[in-house]
Amino acid sequence: MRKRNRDLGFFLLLVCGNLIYTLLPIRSLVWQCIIAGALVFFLPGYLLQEILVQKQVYDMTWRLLVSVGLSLSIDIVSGFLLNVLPDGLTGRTWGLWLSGLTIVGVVFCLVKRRRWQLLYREEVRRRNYPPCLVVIMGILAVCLVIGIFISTTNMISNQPSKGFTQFWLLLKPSGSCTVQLGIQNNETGLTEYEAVVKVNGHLAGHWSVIRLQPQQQWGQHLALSSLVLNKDGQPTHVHVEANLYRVQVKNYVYRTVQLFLGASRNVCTQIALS
Amino acid sequence: MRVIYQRVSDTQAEVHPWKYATVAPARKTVLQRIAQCESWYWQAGLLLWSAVCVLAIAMIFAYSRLGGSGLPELFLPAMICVFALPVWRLLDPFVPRGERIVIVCLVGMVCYSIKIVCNPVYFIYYDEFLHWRTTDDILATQHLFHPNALLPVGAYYPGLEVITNALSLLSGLNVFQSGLLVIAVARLVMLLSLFLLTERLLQSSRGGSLAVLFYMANPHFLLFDAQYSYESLALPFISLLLVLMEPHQSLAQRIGCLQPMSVCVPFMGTQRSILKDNQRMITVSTGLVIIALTFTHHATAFFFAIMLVLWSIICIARSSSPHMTYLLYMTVFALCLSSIAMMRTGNPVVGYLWGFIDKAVQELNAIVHGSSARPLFVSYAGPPAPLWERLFTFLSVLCIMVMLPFGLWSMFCQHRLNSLIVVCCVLALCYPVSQIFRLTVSGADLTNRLSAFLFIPIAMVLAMFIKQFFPVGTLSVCRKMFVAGLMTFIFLGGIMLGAGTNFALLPGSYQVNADARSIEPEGIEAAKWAAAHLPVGGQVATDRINQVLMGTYGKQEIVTNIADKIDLSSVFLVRQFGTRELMLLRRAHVRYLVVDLRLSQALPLVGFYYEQSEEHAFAHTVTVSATALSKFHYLPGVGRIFDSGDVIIYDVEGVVYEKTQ
Repeated sequence: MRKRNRDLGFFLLLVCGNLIYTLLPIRSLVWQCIIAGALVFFLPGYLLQEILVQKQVYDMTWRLLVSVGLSLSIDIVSGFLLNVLPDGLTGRTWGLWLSGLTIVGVVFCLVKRRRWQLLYREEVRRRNYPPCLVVIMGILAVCLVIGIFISTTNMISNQPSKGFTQFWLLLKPSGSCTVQLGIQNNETGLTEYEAVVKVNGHLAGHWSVIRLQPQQQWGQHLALSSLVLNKDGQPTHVHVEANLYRVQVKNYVYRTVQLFLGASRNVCTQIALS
Repeated sequence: MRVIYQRVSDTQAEVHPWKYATVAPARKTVLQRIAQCESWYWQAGLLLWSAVCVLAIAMIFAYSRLGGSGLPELFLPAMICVFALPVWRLLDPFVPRGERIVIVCLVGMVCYSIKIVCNPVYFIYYDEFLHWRTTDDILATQHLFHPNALLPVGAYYPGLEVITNALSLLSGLNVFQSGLLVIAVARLVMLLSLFLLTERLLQSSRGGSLAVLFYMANPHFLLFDAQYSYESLALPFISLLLVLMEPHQSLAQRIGCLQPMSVCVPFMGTQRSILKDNQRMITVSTGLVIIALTFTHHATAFFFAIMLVLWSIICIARSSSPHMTYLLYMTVFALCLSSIAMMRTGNPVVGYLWGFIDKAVQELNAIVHGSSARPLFVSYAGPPAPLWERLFTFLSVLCIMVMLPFGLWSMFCQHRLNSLIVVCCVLALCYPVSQIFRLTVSGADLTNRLSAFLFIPIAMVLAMFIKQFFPVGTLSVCRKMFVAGLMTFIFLGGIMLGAGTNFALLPGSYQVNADARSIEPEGIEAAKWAAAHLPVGGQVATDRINQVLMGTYGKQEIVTNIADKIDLSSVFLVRQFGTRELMLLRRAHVRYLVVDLRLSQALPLVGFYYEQSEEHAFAHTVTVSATALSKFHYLPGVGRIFDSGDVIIYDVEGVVYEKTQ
């Protein structure tokens, strides 16, 4: 009896299915993962070893190992080949290349199998289905492992940490004398802040109560154009300093940031004063 | 001595009286079915048991993350549970081969899941960030060999990153998830190939499965070689290559025998062509995997080339092997490829590896000439390891050393005609020598790194020792318990050596410059802020941990001594900012300084704060002063643009810009 080609048919179907899928508007992560897993980890190596070895003198474990190992090697070599293309390593080039390799591999395999006409005796496998308890134990273990990963992921994501607040002061890149003030609350609970901005020691902005929930952000732009000119209307050097306080502990500067700016014709740059 | 000689030369050690020899044939069939059923139960039971163990370990890690003490006391018993039961089962001579494969893969993957449970949300190990950066560069530029300041040599060996790139782009998973999958597959390849190799060489599936479990005792198996790093992929390639190349010896001999007959006997001709076909398959596959290995990890590729040279020398010395030509071709091929990769313009691999080895050898030389050795079991940052931990680790290495000569003797007595086994024996002898480097500062890491390679032959030798000295015919429950205990003991010793000083590689509260323990939300959020608000590719100077965070999450270009040959550590460590520091910043075109004020809280666990070349590296006795870290605040022209309490970002463009104008 000639060796059946069901495996090759299945692979061809898989690759064609993938090509049709890329034309559809819907996207499924599960399907993509299955296809990507097969194309990256299994198909190229499996087909190569099928082409090279006609008589399967090696056992299933060996063939599985070589299929996966060769697939990884083919991926690396393919990466170097794709690197030469102007498009380089993109999803499209990878998809086309690996799908193309699979189709070519399937065709080669079919031709080789037909030519050799080796007789294989189909092994009738008596399947000893394990008792239901074994299946239940297996399912339980898998569920347990999935549960562990989900709970650990949640645990780490919601892990109670010390809590902190980010406070920043940046000169807007457009060149205008505008600074950007921002607060990000990463504390464990609702926090009330007070922000004070001084330019050369003079109050330029004051926000008495800023209430932020955890992960909430606050931002404000402050134009300094009028403040960077001296009494004679000439540009000058300015020192912008912003302090952040927590409303509960007002007399303690919680965060502080500062900028040194040099201005000319309403264009500010950061400068060194000495 | 005579008893020992009997044991090492006993070729019947694995032969046992047939379990059902005395029963009637009908009863025998029933008993065989029961055994099959029992095997299924064992597999499912072990799967469930392993899942429960992982659950227990996840809970222990959660407790440790919340600041709970006594991590080793809780973690090690859990690891005993993971390991001891499978060992017990595998020592049984009647376990079917399929079940052995399942158990070996199960234990290996459980160990991998422990690494994942350490943090299934993001990368936490230092090396993982270095490779993540290369992968990110490939995703961004769509081309290979983009310079990586965090690990300049890594960009020239992008095998791991290429596979991750393919999986990530095709599946839609992010780099972290794709990386976990790639390493999981690589680990499976490692486990299966080790099993098949040792099974074939020792001619016993029992010996093969025990050898794989022994391999798990290497200090890097649990964490280091499970991380997203090029060595984790290269090691499976090396073992796969050995699996592929080993049968070539016998194939070559069989083809040689069939040649004279093929003319007159048609069947022999067919048989010969099938064997030739297999030989061709081996050659093509080997060539392909050697290419992949060469562009995945430099040190592993060199180690493999050395192994091939050794193998070729042994074959030449015997001068009768038809396998010799093939082996010579492969050796030349591997050497040429390694040289091509090495000679590539800009590849710093020679300096990178040589600097490492040279320093270790120099330190060893100094010790030989009377200088003091590195005290063992002492951390750079805190109290030394407790006495029980020191004893445990020391005794586990001692056990390996004691078993090694007997295993080697057994190998020599029974398999000396197999050239690959002779190569393995020679390499196993390097293990005791490599332990000497533990006395040096630079070489201590070298010893652990070598273990990952040397444990392939060592595991085989140790399995041979168990096979010969505990023959299945006399394996009572007590002896079985002793062997299972011994193997578990060695396994735990390996874990202690690999889990870092004071188990710092496992989850726990924040520590200063302690790699995994230093990766925490405040640093990550600061780096994410940098990615969102600072221009991409701004030159950043910072400490070891913030280097990797700013280079990956922050998308910034990092100034490092290894890439830029400028050591900026003094800029941070000196109390007063002077002209020298200013010149350094200008030379490196630094735009931002990231200062972590927590560095002043403790000594660095890895031995240094900023660069290995910094003053007092590996010999810090006092912490960096808070004054030194906060001095930038008072420098005119230096903008303090970000403050999150512990992490401060300074913009020094004004200082650098002024001068260049």
